[in-house]
Amino acid sequence: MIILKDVDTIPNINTLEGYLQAGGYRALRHGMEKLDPETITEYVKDSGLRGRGGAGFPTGLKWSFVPKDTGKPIYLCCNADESEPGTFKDREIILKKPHILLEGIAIASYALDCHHCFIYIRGEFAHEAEILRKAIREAEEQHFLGKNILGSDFHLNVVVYRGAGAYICGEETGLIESIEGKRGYPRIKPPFPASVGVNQCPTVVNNVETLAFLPFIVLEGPDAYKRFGSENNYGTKLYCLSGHLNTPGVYELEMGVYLDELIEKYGGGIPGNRKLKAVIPGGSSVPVLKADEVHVRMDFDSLQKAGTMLGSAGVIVMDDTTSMVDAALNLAKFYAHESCGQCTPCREGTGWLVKLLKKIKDGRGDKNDPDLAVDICNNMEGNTICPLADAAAAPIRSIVQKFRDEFDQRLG
Amino acid sequence: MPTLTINDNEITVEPGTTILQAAQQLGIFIPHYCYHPGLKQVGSCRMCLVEEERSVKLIPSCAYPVTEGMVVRTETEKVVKARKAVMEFFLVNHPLDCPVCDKAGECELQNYAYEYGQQHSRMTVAKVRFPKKDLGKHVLIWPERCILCSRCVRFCQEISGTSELFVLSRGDKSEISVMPGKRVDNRLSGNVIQLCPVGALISKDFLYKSRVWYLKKVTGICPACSRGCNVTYEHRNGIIYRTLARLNPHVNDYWICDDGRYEFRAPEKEKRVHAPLLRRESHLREVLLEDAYTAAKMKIKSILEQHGPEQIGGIGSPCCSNEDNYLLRRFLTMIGSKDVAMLPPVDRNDREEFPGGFVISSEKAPNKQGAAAMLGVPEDPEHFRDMLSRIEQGRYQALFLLRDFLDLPLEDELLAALRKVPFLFSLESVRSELLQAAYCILPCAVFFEKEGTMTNDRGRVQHFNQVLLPSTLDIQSPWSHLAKLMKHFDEKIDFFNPADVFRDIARDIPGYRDIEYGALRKDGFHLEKR
Repeated sequence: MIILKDVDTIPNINTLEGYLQAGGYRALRHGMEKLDPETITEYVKDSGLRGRGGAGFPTGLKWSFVPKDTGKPIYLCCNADESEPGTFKDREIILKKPHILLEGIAIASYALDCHHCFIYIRGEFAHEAEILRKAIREAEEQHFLGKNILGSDFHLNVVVYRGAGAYICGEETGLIESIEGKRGYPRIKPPFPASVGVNQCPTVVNNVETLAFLPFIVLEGPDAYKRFGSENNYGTKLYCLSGHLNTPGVYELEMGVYLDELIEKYGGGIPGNRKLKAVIPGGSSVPVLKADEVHVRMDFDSLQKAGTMLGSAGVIVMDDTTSMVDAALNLAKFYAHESCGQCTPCREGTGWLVKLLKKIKDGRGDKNDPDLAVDICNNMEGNTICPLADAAAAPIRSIVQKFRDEFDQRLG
Repeated sequence: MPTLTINDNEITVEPGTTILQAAQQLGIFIPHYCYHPGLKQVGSCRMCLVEEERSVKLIPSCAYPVTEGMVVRTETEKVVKARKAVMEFFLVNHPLDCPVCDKAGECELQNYAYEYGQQHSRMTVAKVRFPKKDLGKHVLIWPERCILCSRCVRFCQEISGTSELFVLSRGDKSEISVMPGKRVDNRLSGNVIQLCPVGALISKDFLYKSRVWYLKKVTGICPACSRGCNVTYEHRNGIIYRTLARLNPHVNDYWICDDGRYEFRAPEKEKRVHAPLLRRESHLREVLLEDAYTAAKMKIKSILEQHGPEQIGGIGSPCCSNEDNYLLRRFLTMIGSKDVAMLPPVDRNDREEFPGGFVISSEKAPNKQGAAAMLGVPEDPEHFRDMLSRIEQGRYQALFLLRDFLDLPLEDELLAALRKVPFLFSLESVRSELLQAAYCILPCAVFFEKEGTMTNDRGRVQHFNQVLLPSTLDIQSPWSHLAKLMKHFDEKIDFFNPADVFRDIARDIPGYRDIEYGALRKDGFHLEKR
């Protein structure tokens, strides 16, 4: 374990004192005293660290897009807007070990020559925001953050910015708009945030979990990180298990653990000896897997091969008592509620899907309706500014296609 | 400068040009809603998606700057399918109430639905309903018809800078709304109606007045202030139903103010002067036009013989065209008088400059600069004051007065002075107190019944067309009356139309040399700084 190491053995690891006791902030000192910013960036590149927000974009590569010579400030945004249904790993990090995130932020900022970081945290995480604020105060007092970090001339101002409850603000450009005080409408790309982000300045947006890996990579080196996982999918991963399981929760495991093992061994199997029906492996926005498809490694590439995605690794397990029509409708309602309404296909498509699935659920559907639902998904997908339409289309289409018989049974 | 190909046509464009603009340069049309050339792009309607070789996904051509070597296709199977899908999505919650919608006939939703849509609906569930709302003095909204292109929101942010409008709620519950406690009452509010591509924002002024396809369009210049915004008048049966902004990048871009859009209508028929009037035995009587000219000629001749040309003067108008004012001076010069002045300009002290660069000028007379140049007088109202005191002193036997309904009402002082003039020749369009003072009144066309040129406050000479026909043949433009009167003095003089008059302006007036009348029709002509 990397991120959640020592959380069970050092009870006060959520405080600065406990974190220091566990060897905290050694990586920052090591990085600032022994390594230069370029080397840290190289470390991150070499480690093969891929972003943990869902897309799995290589973190080092993302950093390398930031122009250093614009004369403008460079901003770091830590994306703690964790709103993906079935996902609760970032909250776990903040609750259990907030300083590992702050250390990661300090390292990233040092590497990026950034002096201002926003932690954009979802509005519902009021308690977690308070934890972070307290941790930032602690760290500033000890010069791990704030002015003259570790006695150097490096300054870093970290600000906790609370969202107001919109899923779309977890999309990185929606997040930037929200930080600027605007409505969370995702921006059209290009330009990418790396060149035009917060206040028109170069900006890096990284997920909480991504940043929390940095202390380990800097202290132990990229090769140590690569000892976990497999080619192109290195490191560990925080898996969120939820749904019909005996022991749901967050488990940090080596990348590439088998999904069926995850369900049986860590999730404790399905209660009441009921049978597995379906799993959404990567937070609600990815295609569903049927019970016979779950012997698959939980990493970016294996899941892609299996026709789905690792996403945020929010594993949602559904047993045989679940109505897949209801599940599809439930998902559709979420996306219709959260669509920002900017792009036509998403705005109209998500709302239409809800009504259509409701019609099927209520037994009023006709025989063309399941096909129409699939067609709406196809028409939404890929034609919008941000991936919310894709995120709505992928799971719903796969549910309709893979559990078509359930839909057909409900038709009027 | 990047070079790209669009549908196999190669083109090199300025850096920063978007694909949609490059396509426009090639004459390739890409359908779009949220894109408006006067506003920032948001790329959200997804109607303008095109295929580019290097891109996996379709890209929004309105918001995508061209890069070297792009290979763009605008009509592939993938593009056509996506467009069809977007059209279907637009109509999912649209009420399809075209038969009662004012926008029908000029609605982009209608046009594109025919052009790019599928001809049947797959929508079998209840639509999202919204009540219609009153947004401001001139603006109503039917949110159900709205496609959320956000042009109106961006207009209020970027051009008027007043930010009254915003998008309320999310997803398919989104609707255009006004900020709490606000109304769309800025002085440019009518523009949001004109730039709405569908029938969502509707003008109270035009509500259920006419189907748009019955209206005839005529290009003109707005007479509301000295800025001279370019407009299109839409009329039918002698009534102007709408005034729309017309693009002129040198003057008004795509916009006009509400004064120009709503406040200026031709005066009612009852208020007009319809026939020539001549004073006989202390009463004004209707006469034939020829008789009025002949009487005027006789009277002038006798004054010239008895008193000399010094006792004949003329007053031009900053609200009349260059041609009207020029011929007034030409006529006076012909009979030997150099005594001209210009009615005082109309400063209302309400200048406003908007963040988007649009200016409402405080000077309301539309042709102050041009009229002064034509008459050869200073723009300073002091010059007119001098003439007024001469009138009061009884210096004039005869005076020619040019007026449009746009001019200020006659002040008591001026009226009292004019009563002292034994033979006042008034070229008038509306009935006024002058009827008591005038010797002869020639019925004149009002602004909307004229063709000609005007010069705006920044020295741009612009052409405007005749919109409405006068109700009688006697009602003519002042230049036309003056030309005919001059013909009574000199057979050789022959001005047939405003272009003939302008040819002489281009010969005689400094600064106007060599301007071609025909070349003024598009964007006008900017005079050299004097």
